Amino acid sequence: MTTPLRLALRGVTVRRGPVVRLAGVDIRCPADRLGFLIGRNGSGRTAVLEALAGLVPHHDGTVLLDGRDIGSLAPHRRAALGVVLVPARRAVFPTLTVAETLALAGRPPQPILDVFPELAPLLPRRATALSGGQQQLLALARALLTEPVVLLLDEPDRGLAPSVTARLHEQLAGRTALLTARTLPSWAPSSALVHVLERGRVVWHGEAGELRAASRF
Amino acid sequence: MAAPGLAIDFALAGVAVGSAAALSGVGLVVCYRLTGVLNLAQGGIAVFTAYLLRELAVVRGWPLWLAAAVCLLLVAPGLGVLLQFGVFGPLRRRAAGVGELVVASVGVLVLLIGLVAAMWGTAPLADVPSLVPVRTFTLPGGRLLRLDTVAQLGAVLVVACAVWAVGRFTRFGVRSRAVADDPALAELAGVNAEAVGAVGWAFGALTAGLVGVLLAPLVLLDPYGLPLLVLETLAVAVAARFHSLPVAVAAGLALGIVQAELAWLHPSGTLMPVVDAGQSNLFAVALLVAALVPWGEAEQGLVGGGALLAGPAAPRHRDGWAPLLCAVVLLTPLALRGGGVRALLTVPGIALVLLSVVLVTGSGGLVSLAQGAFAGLGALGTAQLVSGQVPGGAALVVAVLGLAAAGVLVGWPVVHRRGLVLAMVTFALAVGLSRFVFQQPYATAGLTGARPSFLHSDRALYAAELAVLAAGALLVAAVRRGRLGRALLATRDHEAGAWAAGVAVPRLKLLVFVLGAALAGAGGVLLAMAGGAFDPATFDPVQGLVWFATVVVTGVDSAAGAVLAPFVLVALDSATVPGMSAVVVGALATATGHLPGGLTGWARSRLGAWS
Repeated sequence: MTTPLRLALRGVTVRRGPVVRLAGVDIRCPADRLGFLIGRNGSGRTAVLEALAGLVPHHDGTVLLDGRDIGSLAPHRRAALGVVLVPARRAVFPTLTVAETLALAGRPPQPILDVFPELAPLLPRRATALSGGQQQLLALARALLTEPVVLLLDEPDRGLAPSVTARLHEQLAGRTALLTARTLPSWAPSSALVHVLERGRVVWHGEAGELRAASRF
Repeated sequence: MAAPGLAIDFALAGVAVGSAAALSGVGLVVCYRLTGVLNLAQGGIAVFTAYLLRELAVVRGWPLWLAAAVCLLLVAPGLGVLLQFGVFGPLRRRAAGVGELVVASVGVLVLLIGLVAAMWGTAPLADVPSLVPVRTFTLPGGRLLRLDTVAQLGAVLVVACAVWAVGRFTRFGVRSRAVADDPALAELAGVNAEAVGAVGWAFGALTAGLVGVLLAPLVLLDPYGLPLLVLETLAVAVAARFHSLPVAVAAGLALGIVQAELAWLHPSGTLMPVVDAGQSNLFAVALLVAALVPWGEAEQGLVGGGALLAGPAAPRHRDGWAPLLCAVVLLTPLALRGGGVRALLTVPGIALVLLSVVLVTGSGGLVSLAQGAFAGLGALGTAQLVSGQVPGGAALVVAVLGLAAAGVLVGWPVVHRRGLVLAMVTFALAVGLSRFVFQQPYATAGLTGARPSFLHSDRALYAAELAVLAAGALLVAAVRRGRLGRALLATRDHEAGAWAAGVAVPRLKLLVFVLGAALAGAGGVLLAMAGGAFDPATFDPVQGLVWFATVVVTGVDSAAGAVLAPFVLVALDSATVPGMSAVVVGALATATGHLPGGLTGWARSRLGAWS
């Protein structure tokens, strides 16, 4: 299955002080497919997402969106181009209400309230008055509402109720998205592109079906 | 006593100062909300704008409206934008903590005051034009009302309402509140945090300029007085908890009116000196009260804005060469002939004060802006003891023990505060001590020289000072090493983690605070002996800020930097003009965004690159 490439890292190195977080990594996000970054803690999953979203500077290599080098753009410029990251924790604004948080997307919130009706009664509440799971849902809902070109989700299922998780996965189907997880989730479609990271390097990449087939033996 | 109707006249007069204070408070609050920076440079921008207006309107003869428009709509906001992109944007990008942001704004303050003094001199000026013509109305009932008072009050209300409406009803308002909460996350949500910060600085600078232009005709304009006046309006922003605009406006107006009423009351008898001191320092009293009243929930939001001095913990360094270098540099003057030692007599005292900042802020993570004031207490105590025929050595011991006791007394309510709130409480303490102790005749009258008689030669005094400094440095080294040092690092880097690991956090913080107070006090004792007398100007709150800035600039974790820095600064002042060292520190402080870890951090990375 070949689809055009949407977002990619080419030979990207990310350092923090003396520590190398990513060492010459290639990551591909083909259009309209899910991608998974699999690895242990510290393997560099979050660093990949942060390099794509522009939160950390990269030293070598390029960040490409539809063939254009976006490596020098600030995070808000990348967000405006549709590269939207939802960090793993604390991804809400404490003093904004749910309604105001959704208003940041600049679109009417109704479509996302239809998908996640549990947000509707929370609209006038401040984000600090929400539970951890509700905060995570709010962060994801805000990102989905912007109709992103590429969605980057750092451990999106953390803290979510199972019923909400199922609807989130339905929403992700057919989108270009890159998710991180420790192991390949059972719901991942066989066509999903998987990168396995270890100590800041990609040690395997291929389709989820291949990985499952290989790990059966 | 005058007729009660006069009370209204005095209240109307107080509105003029009150509305300027309210405007300044609104500017501080909005700037803090949009940029996360407490703008201590507000007074510097105010004085610069006021001088510029006078230059254009009086010296160059521009029409007043044109000069005002250029100053307020062009230069002041432009200066604000420049500050965002040159100074505070880089700091924000690397998630700098409260201490560094405070230091950078102190740097801007010192630089602007230095610039004004260099360009326009320090002679007081009385001919600053008033923006609104001085005309009076007669109200029904025969009261006189000045047009400029009405205009100032109107300006405050219009600005406050406009800010509230923008924050509440516009898309920019929501986006700017998102930036106030979490700049990085706001960027991810497509908000340009730099641009929002630039708007915040432009607005802060505009209000600062307006405050300067409004206040300047009411006072004699000189480079130092007006910034201090504006710095006192910090009380308004603290009362508003850096959040509430209505509280800021109300507090500013109330303080202005109460100050005027106190001037009118003027009770006779024993109360008079108290009321007089309270009246002329009402804003300092308000700052102290507002800072000390528990902040409750308001503190949470502020602490979230960066509680620690630096973001991620810096690795610990052991520079074997540093103590040796310090010893060589400090001992060299003893080998010199002539009067070289005399100029350097203040070095060990300042070094001890700076060491106390290293201990309290660098190791303890407590942003204390009161170390200069503790030094002042030590100096004053020594001067009083020596005037009372107590020998110098005994005075040192008594002063240090007294300061430790004061540290316990002051520290207990203080150490539970964190981040910006702690900085504000300690700064309020410094202001309060300066105004109500150091500058009051009851404390400073009749003091004789503080220098012990057996140390009459400069060389002997310098040697004795070095011995005290060495003892202080050993104390700091002993605290920073071993079990106590590890507990301190743990508390500074992750307070909850330290609690969980069995560290009694409040007791530890109190211990550090007390040791810091005693060290600073010892430094003050040395400064009093070196100067031969007690000089309140040495322990001014702004001087305390400059000392704090010096430590952050040289590297807040570096004891060697704290010992060597005063040497360089004192030498610089005596080689050029007094005040030059403050300007150099200010210039370096504005560059903290590009100098993580201070000068020693930079030196270490250079040395690391070579080896």
